[in-house]
Amino acid sequence: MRDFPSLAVEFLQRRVQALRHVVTEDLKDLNRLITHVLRGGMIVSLAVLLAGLAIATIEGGAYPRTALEPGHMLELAFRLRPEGLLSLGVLLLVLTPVARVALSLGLFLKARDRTYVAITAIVLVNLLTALFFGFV
Amino acid sequence: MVLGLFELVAFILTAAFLAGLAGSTLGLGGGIFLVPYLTLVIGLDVRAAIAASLVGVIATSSGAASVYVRDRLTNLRLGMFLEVATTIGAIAGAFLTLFLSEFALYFLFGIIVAYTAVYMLRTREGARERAAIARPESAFSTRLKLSSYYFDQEDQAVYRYRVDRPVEGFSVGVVAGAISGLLGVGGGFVKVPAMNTLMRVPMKVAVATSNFMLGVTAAASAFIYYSRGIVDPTLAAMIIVGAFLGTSVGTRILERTPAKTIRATFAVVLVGIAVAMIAGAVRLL
Repeated sequence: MRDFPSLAVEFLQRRVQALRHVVTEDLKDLNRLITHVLRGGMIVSLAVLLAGLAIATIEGGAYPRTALEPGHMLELAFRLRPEGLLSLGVLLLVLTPVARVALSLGLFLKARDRTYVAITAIVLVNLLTALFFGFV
Repeated sequence: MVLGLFELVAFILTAAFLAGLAGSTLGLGGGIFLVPYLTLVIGLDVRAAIAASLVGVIATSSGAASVYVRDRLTNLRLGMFLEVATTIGAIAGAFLTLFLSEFALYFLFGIIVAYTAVYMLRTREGARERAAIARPESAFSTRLKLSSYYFDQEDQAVYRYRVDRPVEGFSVGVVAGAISGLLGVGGGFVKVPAMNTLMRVPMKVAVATSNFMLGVTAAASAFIYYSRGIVDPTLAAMIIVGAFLGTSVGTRILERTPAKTIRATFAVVLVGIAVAMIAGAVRLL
């Protein structure tokens, strides 16, 4: 039986290698890039949310009912406080589609696909406009 | 209605699961089911319900789209092209609320949705129809590289398809965006029929592409609700978990179910939405 730290290091090394592969090979392909972004955002936010719910339950069921503003949220999330973790999880989920649009724009720029650079840029500008004015 | 904590959690998780399931198999966000459920059964106020359901729509969209995009069922270019329309529409919709009466809104959409349901029930989409509709495409479609192909599990075949009437589809996309801005829903019930019947995109591709687009429209609205402090993170977390589980079942169902069944189910849901909208208009009189 091998000790836990060496197993953990090996696991991390394998993850880093897999990620490097994703970055170098998969990013060339729009379908794979988007799959990774959406699934990654989903998994990370689910993990953060479940951790938040678990910690709140262990601590006796004081579940936070209002979302925090970003600065305060990050500080509490780093200290593994449930109110910070739950707000962070929700925000990560909401930001995932925006990240998807931004990364697609990058890929179209790299491929010099002018029509779609314009299209994704307009979508991104519209999104930011909506966020900025609080219209939608 | 007074509920114990355990029942409440079970009710919310089940509702979110069903919304995720319906969203991923029909291309709806699930907001159209979740908002009435959260207000009428759980007893949330409308704004809190819309905020929670928007988060659920994003979870449904991300969860299902990651599968559909991987399996190349989603037409990414078509989705991004129509996102231009829906985001413009969503911004315009916020202005329109100032001028349009709620009665006119519900009544008009009720009629349109009912007509679409009848149209979808009357036309068929089998292998033959898919082959017969392949004709020369418009120059605009070619320029946008909208035409694509997908693997259909039902026929165990790869179909190439062309995207018809991109300009008309774009206009309907603006309307879909405006509706989501006005009513606080994803607008999937407008986008799917528009792609399927107007642009002649195969049903499963239309569902997957609508699902893909929903996340972006909902994200803009959800961020606003979040910054105004209306999002309840504990409720949102439960809805996200439920919706995600729903999509992991729903994506498998869509890929294995005949397109015919999905269209028929979609049309029935449309009839329900039309009835609810017209009833809502009548109540306002």
